[in-house]
Amino acid sequence: MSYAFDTSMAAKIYDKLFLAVIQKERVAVYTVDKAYFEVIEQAPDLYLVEGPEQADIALVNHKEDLPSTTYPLIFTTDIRIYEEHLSTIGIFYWDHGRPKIIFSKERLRAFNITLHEQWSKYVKSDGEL
Amino acid sequence: MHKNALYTLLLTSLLMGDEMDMMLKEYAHKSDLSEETKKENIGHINVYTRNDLDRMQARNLKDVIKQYSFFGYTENRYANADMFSTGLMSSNSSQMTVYIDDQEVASGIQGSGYSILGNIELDFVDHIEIYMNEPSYSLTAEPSYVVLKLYSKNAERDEGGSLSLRYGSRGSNQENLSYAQKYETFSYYAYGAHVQENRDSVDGNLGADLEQDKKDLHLFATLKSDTDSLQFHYLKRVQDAFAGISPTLTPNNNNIESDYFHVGYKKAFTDDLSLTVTYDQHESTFDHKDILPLTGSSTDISNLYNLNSRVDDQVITAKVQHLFRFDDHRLLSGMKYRNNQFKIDETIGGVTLPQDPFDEQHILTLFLEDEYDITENILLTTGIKYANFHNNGNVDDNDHLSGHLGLLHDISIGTSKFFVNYEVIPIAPSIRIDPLLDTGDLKDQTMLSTTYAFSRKKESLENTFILRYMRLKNFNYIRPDSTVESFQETQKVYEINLFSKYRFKTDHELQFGIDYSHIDDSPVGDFAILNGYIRVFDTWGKIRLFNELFMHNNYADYHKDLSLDYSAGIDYHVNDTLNIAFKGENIFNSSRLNTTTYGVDPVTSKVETRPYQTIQQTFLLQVKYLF
Repeated sequence: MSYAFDTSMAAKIYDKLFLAVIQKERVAVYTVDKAYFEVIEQAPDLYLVEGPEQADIALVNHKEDLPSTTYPLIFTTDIRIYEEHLSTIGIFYWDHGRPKIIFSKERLRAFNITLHEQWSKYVKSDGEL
Repeated sequence: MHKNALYTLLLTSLLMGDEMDMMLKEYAHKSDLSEETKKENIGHINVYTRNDLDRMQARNLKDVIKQYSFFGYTENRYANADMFSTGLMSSNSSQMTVYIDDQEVASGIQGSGYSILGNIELDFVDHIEIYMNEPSYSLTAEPSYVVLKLYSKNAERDEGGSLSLRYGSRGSNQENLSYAQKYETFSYYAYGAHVQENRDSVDGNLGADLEQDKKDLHLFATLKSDTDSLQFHYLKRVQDAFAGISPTLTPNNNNIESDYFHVGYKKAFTDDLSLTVTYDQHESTFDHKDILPLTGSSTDISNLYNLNSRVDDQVITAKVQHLFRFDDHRLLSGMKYRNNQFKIDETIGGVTLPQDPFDEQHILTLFLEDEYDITENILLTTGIKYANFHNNGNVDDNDHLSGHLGLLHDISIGTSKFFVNYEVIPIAPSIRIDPLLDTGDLKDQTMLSTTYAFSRKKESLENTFILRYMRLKNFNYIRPDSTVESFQETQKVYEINLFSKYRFKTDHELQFGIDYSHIDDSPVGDFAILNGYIRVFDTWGKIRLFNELFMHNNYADYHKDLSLDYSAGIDYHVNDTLNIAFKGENIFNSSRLNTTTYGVDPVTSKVETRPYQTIQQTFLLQVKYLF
């Protein structure tokens, strides 16, 4: 069974997430996941780029899609990518039937990223997952 | 000034926090359904989303099915879920088809797996779809009045573990454990449950108690990749058999033990071509001891007090279907082969009754269905199905031809749907071969239905209006003397439904429904049923509240009571791993009365029905731990 995917609401959520991290007016996003092309296109402050080196952040949902050259910041929907790749700063995924957002406290610090206080409830230490 | 700036910053932060929470809730709500559910063109669907089931604290299928007026949730005299329960028949639900994901829960002898899973616990279920009258062959090629589709949880959204414990009235308890994991190329979901359901007994005659406790051991697992899925299912049930076959409602001791096993495999060769192969096995033993002799059956069993029976049932099914796309058409073609093998071994007072020579069926079904986009907003669906039944023993082979026609029109203010459906529902073999039943010249049931539905969704308000007219011919009906007949008159069913859903402020939802059915020329005469419900969901931070009131009034000559079934629940989301919930079911102790169990009063010698509440007043505490 494949689930319904609400593109417009996903676009709004990713827009807020990536603006929170990058803190620019417009954020360049790299992804090879076709299902997310439309999400990025519908997000008002995000735009797609063709290579990871041009991106502010990469959205990676499958291990084989991890950028092999220049590593920008990575955001994911896959728990294994989040756990195994320390360049992944956050995850938006389904946890026991509920959508959940997590930013890694340690990795944000390593990349010298400070999120606005409003995001504090979504920031967790790596051990808390 | 500093104070104001600080206040503004704090308020903005809180609003942003709330805004993302709201967005996540909205995202969950809109993503709650499967892709298949989104296909509005396959008929009128009632969907219970994951969120609905969670908020309702729905623990059994009855919590969902009870809202339907025409069939609702009833049980037969063996305390098993049964759609059109009558008399000594072990099941009369062949009109209802049950699926888990896309694999049918099949019973060759009963014609439907509803008798096996009719009130299964729902902790392994993600969401439920219910289709009435007009299902597409893409959903089922089985002849059905109702299609019940349960979608299991899976690793895509439920990775990790879950442990749930419930304890409730009369010592009822339920424990289940599940785990799901996703790997690079496949994922699995495994679930196990123990359910002990204790209910109050109902008074029989001569001081006998009609007991109805049940104990289930339930295992379910799936293994899935992008193209393959394997499903395994096992249910062991030990239960009291309520009135059983006692013609005088005087059982001394009776029980049923059953084992159900299913394994199924589906291979998707492409997005449009798939093969499904399933195997179902159901074994059941029934022991009945009575205070009085088991008279009242056509079989001469006077002065015998004990009955033992064993039912064996095996079903092998293979189905291949292919969707062709050309121009504005989507043409679905399919073929299904099913082999049913079954037998009943019955012993009364130590005497073994002769077995019926009819113990095997080969069923070949071919179907073709076209969806044609006449314009961008108008869709025409036509379907035709042919089924060939090859029976052994003394039962003639036969053929069925059925079909359906649907017209869907998207207009600016909503969606209008019109369906005509003709279906032939074969006689379940159990009715033909049960030695206790006297079957004459039985005919297959036929159903001709026309449905008009109009639905409108605007922002947070959804309204659905349905008109239905149905003609049922040859309804299988059992008389108090155990004679089964195909009811000669054509029953007519007139039905009108109105459903509304209103979501306000994301965290609150009001659901409302009213449903009136009038049935003419039924075996029990003309009657009407009026059903209504109001359901309210509220979320206040970590607390969720649920209130639900069902009203049911049956205007049949034999029963005129109004029932008010009120349930309410509260659950507290302690943290991301722990949830505590409390629920009361049928709090007013006034649920719909089941009037299908009857017997001869030994004192007055009159045949009397024994009304009782199938859904009893129950309070439950649940603790759920996620890991």
